[in-house]
Amino acid sequence: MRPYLAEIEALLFVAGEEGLSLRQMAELLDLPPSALIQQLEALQVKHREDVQSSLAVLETGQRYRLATKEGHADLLRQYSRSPINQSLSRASLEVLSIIAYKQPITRIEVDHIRGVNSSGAISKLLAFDLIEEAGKKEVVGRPNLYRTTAYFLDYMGINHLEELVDISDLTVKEESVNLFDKEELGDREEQHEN
Amino acid sequence: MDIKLNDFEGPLDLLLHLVSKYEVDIYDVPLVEVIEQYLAYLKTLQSMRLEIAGDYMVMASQLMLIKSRKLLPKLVEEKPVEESPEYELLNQLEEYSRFKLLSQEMGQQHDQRARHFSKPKQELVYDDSILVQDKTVVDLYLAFAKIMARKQEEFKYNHATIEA
Repeated sequence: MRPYLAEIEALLFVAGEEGLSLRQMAELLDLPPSALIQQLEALQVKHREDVQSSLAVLETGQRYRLATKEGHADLLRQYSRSPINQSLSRASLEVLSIIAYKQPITRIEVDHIRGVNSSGAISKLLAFDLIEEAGKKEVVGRPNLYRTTAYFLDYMGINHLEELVDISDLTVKEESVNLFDKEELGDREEQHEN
Repeated sequence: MDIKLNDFEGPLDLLLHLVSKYEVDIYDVPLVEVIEQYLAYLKTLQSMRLEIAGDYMVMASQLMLIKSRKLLPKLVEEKPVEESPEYELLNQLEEYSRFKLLSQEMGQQHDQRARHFSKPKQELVYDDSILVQDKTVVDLYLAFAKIMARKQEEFKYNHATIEA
């Protein structure tokens, strides 16, 4: 009996934030994918049950990654700042959500929905590899089309675009738009202090 | 009026805020009233000599057109309702409000993911590994451009949380 769990853990450790796909691991370990999934689940259970272990196997963007458990976030935030653990500005998030749900889409179309120019946010999202160019739109001017990347899936902690919040489940709550609740003001002041 | 322009992500966001105070469906708001508030608000800001983004001005002119059309008596019903500029504006407002909400949801979804940390991939080197020559000058250029773009973003925000 090979120590599969240890071997999987070694592979995931070296792969780090890049992670490994099921197929890559299956080839390396010479295991059929179904058996590998069983081993991965066993490894997840092992990590979960050992409270003295900080690690967890994450499955996002259809790749497996070794990452720390949620509970250590506050401790690690003081130490590490990698792009995936940073939050985006409101403007960038708005642009990202429009591209995520309406891809492929041009910058002008995004501008129209937001009512403001989105060039800045788009170049930022491109630099962070959350979106990419997806060819040209065949209209006058042939503008770039944009879509989300594989990294976007990991950034959101999902495997497929279908796992995003369903547009039809959302009813626009009037109070969610009110910027001037006392609570929210408190939140915003905290943000300014940071 | 204790609000600053940088609390808003553009004119639609400001309009949405004004509309939301009525607590009715977007299509039922007293549009002329909202337009007057919007223009009054912009005027206050101008009198304080604040820089106002061009987008807000463009919206102001669109709103003035809608308001003047609403005030003038109609001679004949020339266009169906669906094509009127006010209907278009309300549609835009509704779509924007949906995405505003969605982006908040997505932010929360990402916050969950952001609680897990990983380390960078370890580059393993062996004597017997062979170089696959599949990279060109273009790849090198793009790789460096990407690093520079990222660094610039990071410096802009001084390594703090990315808050625009």
